[in-house]
Amino acid sequence: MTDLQDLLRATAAEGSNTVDLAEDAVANRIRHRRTRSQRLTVVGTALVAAAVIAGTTWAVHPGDGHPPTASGPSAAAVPPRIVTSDYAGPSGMEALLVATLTADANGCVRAQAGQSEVTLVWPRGYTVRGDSQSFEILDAIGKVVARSGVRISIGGGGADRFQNTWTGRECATGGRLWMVGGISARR
Amino acid sequence: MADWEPAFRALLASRGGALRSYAYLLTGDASTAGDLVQEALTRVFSRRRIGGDVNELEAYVRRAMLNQYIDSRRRLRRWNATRHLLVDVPHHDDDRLAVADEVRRALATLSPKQRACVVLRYYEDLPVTEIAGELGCAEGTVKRHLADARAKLATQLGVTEESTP
Repeated sequence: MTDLQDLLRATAAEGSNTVDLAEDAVANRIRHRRTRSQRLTVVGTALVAAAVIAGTTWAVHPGDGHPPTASGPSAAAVPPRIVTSDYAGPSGMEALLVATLTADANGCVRAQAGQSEVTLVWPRGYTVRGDSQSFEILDAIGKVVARSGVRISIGGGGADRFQNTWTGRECATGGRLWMVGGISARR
Repeated sequence: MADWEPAFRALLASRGGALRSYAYLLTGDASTAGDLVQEALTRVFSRRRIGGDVNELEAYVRRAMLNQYIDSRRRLRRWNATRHLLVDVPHHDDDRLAVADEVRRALATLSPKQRACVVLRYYEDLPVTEIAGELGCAEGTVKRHLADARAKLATQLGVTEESTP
């Protein structure tokens, strides 16, 4: 047998019957994930409501008159930097992170979710423009997908460790890594 | 029964075998193939909105399997480089099983993207354009992966360049 197509078919036929799909176990796992996702949505909605109330309060009492910044009025403006993956597509993971983009003193862009900061790993080709106090993230075709200081929903999921093929290692200084999937603005 | 579940059951009933074969050729191992399909199904059906079109769902699951396979193979590369030092590869005397073993061993020498290209081109019968779309790379890259893979497989399996367009 010298035809590659035949060899592959024979191999698939030989091995595929031993592949267990665990249909019921998978169905249970899906049920569990969907339930958890619904709970996250409820929590996200509550956070948005809190953000709207806080925003309204700020609009009525705007403080010193300066617009909100990504990392506070005392941070010096330095060029923002992001970590990018070597994979051009979205991460494919389905978890949800509701956060605001900020930049630290070195300009490294992070997601601020409550008290914790997460280093975001953007798909290959994504770039950032602006400065550390006000910046925009652009996708591979130059479309703005996120802005600093705006609360957004970031689909994706956690990564175990920084990969050598990613860029921006200097920004992965510990803490959680989040592989970015879809982005949408919170309303 | 939740609204996603009839579509899930219908997909496995009608396309379960094809998904098994695809996963097996990508991974070369029944246990890893099972994990790959199960995780892909979980990801796709955990989305909030699920359509009922089995063909569309199958395409989503295959895409998830491919992405996951390539990502996980990157992480496993170091382990695979030394695995042969630790475990014995099973040997079969039966001719049919021996051929399958030989093919699995030959496929295991390919890089994840080369292997994915070979499976998509020669098993799934996809044209180069579609493979490039699936893998998110240029057609030229796919052609290069296929040429490199063919050269390796030609040596190991005795397949000729003519028989592998």
